[in-house]
Amino acid sequence: MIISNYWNSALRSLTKKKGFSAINILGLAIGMAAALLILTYVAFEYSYDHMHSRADRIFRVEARFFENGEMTDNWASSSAGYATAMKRNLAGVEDYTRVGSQYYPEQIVKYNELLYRETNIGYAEKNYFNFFDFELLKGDKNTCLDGPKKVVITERIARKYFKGADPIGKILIFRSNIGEEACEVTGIMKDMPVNSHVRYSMLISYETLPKWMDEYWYRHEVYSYVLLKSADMKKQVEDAFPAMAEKYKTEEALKNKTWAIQLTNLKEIHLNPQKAYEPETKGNRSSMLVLICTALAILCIAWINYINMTVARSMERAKEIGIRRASGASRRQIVTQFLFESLVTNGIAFILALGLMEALMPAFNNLTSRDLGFSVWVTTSLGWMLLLIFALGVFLSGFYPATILSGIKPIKMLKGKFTHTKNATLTRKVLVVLQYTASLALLCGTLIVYAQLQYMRQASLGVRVDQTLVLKFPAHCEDMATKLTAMKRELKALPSVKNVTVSGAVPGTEVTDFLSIVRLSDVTKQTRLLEMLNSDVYYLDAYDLEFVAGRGFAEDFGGDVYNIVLNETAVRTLGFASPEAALGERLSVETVDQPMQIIGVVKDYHQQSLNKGYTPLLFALHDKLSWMKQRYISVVMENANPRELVKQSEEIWNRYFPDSSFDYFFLDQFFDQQYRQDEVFGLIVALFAILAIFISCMGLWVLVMFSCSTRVREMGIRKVLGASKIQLFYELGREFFILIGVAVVIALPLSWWVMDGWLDHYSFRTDWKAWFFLVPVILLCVISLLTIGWQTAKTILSKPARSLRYE
Amino acid sequence: MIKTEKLSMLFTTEDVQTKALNEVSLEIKKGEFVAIMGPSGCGKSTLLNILGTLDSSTSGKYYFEGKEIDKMSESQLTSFRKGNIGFVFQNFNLIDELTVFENVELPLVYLNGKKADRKKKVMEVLDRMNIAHRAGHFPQQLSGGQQQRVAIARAVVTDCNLILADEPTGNLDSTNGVEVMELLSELNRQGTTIVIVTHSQRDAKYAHRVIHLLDGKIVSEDRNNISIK
Repeated sequence: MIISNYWNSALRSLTKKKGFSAINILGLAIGMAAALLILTYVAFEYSYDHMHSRADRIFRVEARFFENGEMTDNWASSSAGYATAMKRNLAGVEDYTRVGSQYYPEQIVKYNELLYRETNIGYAEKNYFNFFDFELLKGDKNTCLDGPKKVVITERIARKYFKGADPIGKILIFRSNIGEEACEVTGIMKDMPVNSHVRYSMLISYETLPKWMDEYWYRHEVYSYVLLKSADMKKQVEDAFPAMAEKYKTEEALKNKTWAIQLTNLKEIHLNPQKAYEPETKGNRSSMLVLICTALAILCIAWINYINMTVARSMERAKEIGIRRASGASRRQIVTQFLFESLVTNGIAFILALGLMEALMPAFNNLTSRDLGFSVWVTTSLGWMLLLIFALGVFLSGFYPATILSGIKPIKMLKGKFTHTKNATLTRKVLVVLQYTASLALLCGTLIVYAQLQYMRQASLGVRVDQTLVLKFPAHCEDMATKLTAMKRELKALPSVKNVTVSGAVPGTEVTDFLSIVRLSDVTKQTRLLEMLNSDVYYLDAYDLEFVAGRGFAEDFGGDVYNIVLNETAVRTLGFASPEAALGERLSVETVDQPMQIIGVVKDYHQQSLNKGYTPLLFALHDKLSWMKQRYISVVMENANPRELVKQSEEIWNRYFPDSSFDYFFLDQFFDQQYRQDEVFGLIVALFAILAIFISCMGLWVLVMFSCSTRVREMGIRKVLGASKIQLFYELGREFFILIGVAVVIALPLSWWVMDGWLDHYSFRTDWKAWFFLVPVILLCVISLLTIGWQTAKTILSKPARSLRYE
Repeated sequence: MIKTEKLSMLFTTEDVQTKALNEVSLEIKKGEFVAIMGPSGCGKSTLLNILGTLDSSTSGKYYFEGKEIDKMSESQLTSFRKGNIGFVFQNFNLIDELTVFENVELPLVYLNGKKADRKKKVMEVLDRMNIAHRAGHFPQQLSGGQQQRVAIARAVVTDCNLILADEPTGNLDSTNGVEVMELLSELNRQGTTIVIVTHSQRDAKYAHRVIHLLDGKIVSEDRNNISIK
């Protein structure tokens, strides 16, 4: 009965002031939708790899090397021998599985006439589908990867190659730099979920790999996962590893280093900082924190609006409450009534928010390359958390206005002599300051993210990435070297081509080959593990690398196969006093039969995006490092029509490598893709900053409206006494400008502090600029000025006699 | 000093049109004390508001010291009012958040007077109104009579030529009412032109001339036997 009374009262109160209610509900709905979207996204990021039932006990074995107690290398991968040795020697390890996915993850796959270059190829052990919970749709999970030359493919790949026919038993040909392998399809797995840190499209049986690799300790090209007997044994296993590793350090290389591991829990992998050799572009934990704060800020702004509007309107409702009180309603009943109204308003807003979210989800998924849906609420604990937040919001936003109103003596309300208490006014001011602080901080954050992105994009890379067409290396075939040379010559003969070079990496890719290096003149024979970029003689020239000492490789010198070029960081790492001092020095390089001589030093350049610092880098010709992978053929163009060049290159390619698919990219676009994640993050923060300001302004709008309506008489008097329009505007807006001022004082240091932390994740970061802070302040002031101006204009411009009649 | 020709005022709401003033023509001389009387709703206050430029007429002409007022813009009107016209209202219209001193000071603030000059002037006027001891109080802490004295102080603080008073004694008891009327009368003797709107025969007796309004029209005019200084 009483509920129906509350219900009627709530509905009438909502419909009585339609504009007001619309602003109120719309503000809440937009705020909720935005916050829900962000929180869903964040929950999704946190849900990575939670689908495995034993995830709590599964750890990835990540290799680390220490020298004199200092970590020199930190990789996501490990070598094949680690896991087997751990199982044999360390008590805590119950089981393990390995995936060789650094070993040709990209290969050309052929089935009948179909020929595609496939990425995400892994070599998985036979227990893979028992170890993890990835779903196998066809095939036996115990045997499908047992024995060499078997392959399990995803549904997507099955559709791509077999178009509905049953793939089981069919043969796929895999071609890589080293040769060709025919594998039988023995299983079909479901596409790996988006929230998995690995997403293989094809898993070839581990035994297909060369036998010598199985126990080998010197190529860190597999991902090893161990299942511990209990999760708390992690430390114990980590600590026991270095001592165990000593007996496997059979070769000279890296003898002086301590071989250690870090065990990272499966669920932690995605949001931990990116290491070298990661199979995925990782999420960023500090970005997640910023996003959570953003979501909560937006929710708070929306709820503060609701509170402020309800309290402001309470003047109008004072009479109703007075009558209710006079008719015997207790304070508690009044509070209950307001809570009920809050529930109704929030409920309507929530339903609208769900609709909005549903409408925005596809675009948001597209932006973030994720697969978000309402299901995330169920599969993670987000659902419960949202319910809790919602309940808290309903309670707080209803409770405060209720206590304000129910605390006033009924007779005061009936007589209409009710004005807000000092306390209520102060609270309202604090809430407005909070809103403005949040909006300002978000705006500053947006600008800083944007500035960092611009900085990274516009910074001089020290290497030329434009005007370059990169072809992916062909699969191995007969007379490979001859054909390659001939093709290079033909490509170079094209009028629009300036240079052609073959290399193991191009700017924007990780240099994945590490070799241990010893300076011959170093009596301590200290070995260092350094990145080695193999190429032909044209590479340094083609990429415009700047020499600070010596020279590069040259065709006519002939004997450059035992020569080597360093970057400045490598010079420092190897302990040379200067680039000049390094010239002529000799290095012993792992796997090379003779010492190599330093002939040149190039200036440090950004091999990868500016998130990453400079690393020591060595350049050597492929001739003496022939076991290293050649991955790219870079075609440097000059005044070319890119489309035309691609066409011409493909024609040439098809004459030499008809059995390899022709795959290419333009280097500048490729390099830019490294910033995709930062860009998405920036866009999300920007979008939500705009939303926050919009909602704040909606709130300001209503507050100023109420403030004006209660001061109409005063403004009339002032006008009669000769106040000018500007003076009246100042009088009406002053309070709000003071509040904005306070918010500025709080928000600027706050955003400086938060964003300084965020920028710390970048090795190369933008400098602080005054406009990061000035623009948000000015923008917010202008928007507020317009809002206040618009609202006060009516009061200011009306005839004073009418304002005075207001009573 | 004041001359109107056929002033009319129409109020239009959604479905009704009300003629508050119907072709009112009148003339008020400098130094005159004029009372406007008539039943509620006859247009007295509307006429006073137009004379005070707080509202503008729908048609007709209004001259103040020979200047045509209807042609002025809102900001011209604002600066015209400043220092020329003082207002006294039935409900005093003091700003609750300001002290007595600040209320009286306000017109001088808008005239950009110097702070020291303002203070001197305000205290002088408050003294004259016999309310100086209340300068630091807020309006709510004063009696009705005291509040109206503050309002009058505020009206005269700029040494204006014309005071328009809308039922200045309407909210006061008779003792306070008489006091306020004596004050206005004294100001008039010192040379200020005064126009009041009133229901009270007693108040009207202070005026030189009484104009009777009915349904927005002047229906008659009486002269009291008081000489104009």
